[in-house]
Amino acid sequence: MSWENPPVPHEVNVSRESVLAEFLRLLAGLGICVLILAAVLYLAGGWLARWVPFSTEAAWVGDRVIGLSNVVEAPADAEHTRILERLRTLTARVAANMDLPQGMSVRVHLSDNDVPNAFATLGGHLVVNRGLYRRMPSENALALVIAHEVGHIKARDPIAAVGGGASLALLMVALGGDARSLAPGIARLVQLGYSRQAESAADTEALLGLQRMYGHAGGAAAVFEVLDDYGREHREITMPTLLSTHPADARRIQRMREAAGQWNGTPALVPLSAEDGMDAPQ
Amino acid sequence: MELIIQFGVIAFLLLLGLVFGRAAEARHFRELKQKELILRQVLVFSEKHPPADQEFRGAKLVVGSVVIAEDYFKRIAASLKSLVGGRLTAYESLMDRGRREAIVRMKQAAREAGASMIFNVRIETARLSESDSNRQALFAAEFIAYGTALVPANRP
Repeated sequence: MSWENPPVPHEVNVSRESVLAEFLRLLAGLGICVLILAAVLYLAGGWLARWVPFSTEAAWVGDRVIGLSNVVEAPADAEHTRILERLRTLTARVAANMDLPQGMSVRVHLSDNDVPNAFATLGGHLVVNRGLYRRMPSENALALVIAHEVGHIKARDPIAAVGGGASLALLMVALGGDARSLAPGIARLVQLGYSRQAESAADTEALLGLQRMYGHAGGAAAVFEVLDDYGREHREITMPTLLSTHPADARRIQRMREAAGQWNGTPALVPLSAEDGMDAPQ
Repeated sequence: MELIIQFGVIAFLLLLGLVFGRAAEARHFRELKQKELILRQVLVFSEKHPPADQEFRGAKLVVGSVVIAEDYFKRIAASLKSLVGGRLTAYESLMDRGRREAIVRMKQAAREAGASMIFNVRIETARLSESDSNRQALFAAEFIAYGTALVPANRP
């Protein structure tokens, strides 16, 4: 009797499929799943956060201006006080024309930053950069910006962003991240700007407010022209939130022009301030 | 920034595992093929009883064992695959290498003893790792092949 061990076709045991290709495919699939989950969590978190009563939100933040930490705090010189005073008066007038819900109040702050930007943050705080104030051609234009930010506050966009961010942080922690290192990122979310719809809604609110305040929406488009010019001059990372908003600038300007409608220059635009000559647009 | 560094480290380890792990695996498979060819004369059987019509001079327990570790790429690829289930191809090749290497080493031991056949061959696998609570534990498996080597009587 004779025996032999025939050569075994070992390759049958080992898959011919490339492990790397499979790995990449799985990684892509996992990535897509996580992205979908993140999007759902962000939206759900934002939706839930809007249910937080404004009074709770205001009590929660108190006098802190979330997101201002990385903005240069203005020196309290005479001019700063004067501009801030004007901003407060204007904001109060704008807010009065915007049908804010009962108990909602807006507090405006002036930052010494020269980037033409303004943002609304938690607790009804609103920050206007000196760079924006300096460049606005008329009070109407400035009022539009303030009204736009008040529109965000009215729509509870800041807390929605933070709520969404918090849910995302939760996901990151679940995936093995460090929650504490994420907190500053969440605070910064309010400065990153909002969704296309939120921006559009804020624009609509702002134009309505402007219409009520001055009887016309003239001068509104000028805001975006100023921002557009600035964006073209400074191609840098610190793009103003107002500028980087999603409805493309051209479309927003178009909308502002349409809103101005039949306004033909009368009543004239209100100059920012007679004694603010030095702040006139350059 | 921290996140980028973390991802960078993971990506670097993955690349390291992929490049060196694959190279080592390919080399190992090449060597196995050669050694198996050389050791073809040593026959292995799972049968318990040697054939009655042959005479043997002696019997000896022969053992071949090897420990093979995963690389970082295999670990991540396998943990990813275990989310959806299915064939763990990353480990299939590792286990295959282990079994074959153990048999090769057992055959080498048998040949040194002058044997031409090994009966009652068994293969066992043991997992070497730290406690389960330690997620960083390395996966490595020991493969041990053993059997009774028989030295034929007609051998000088």
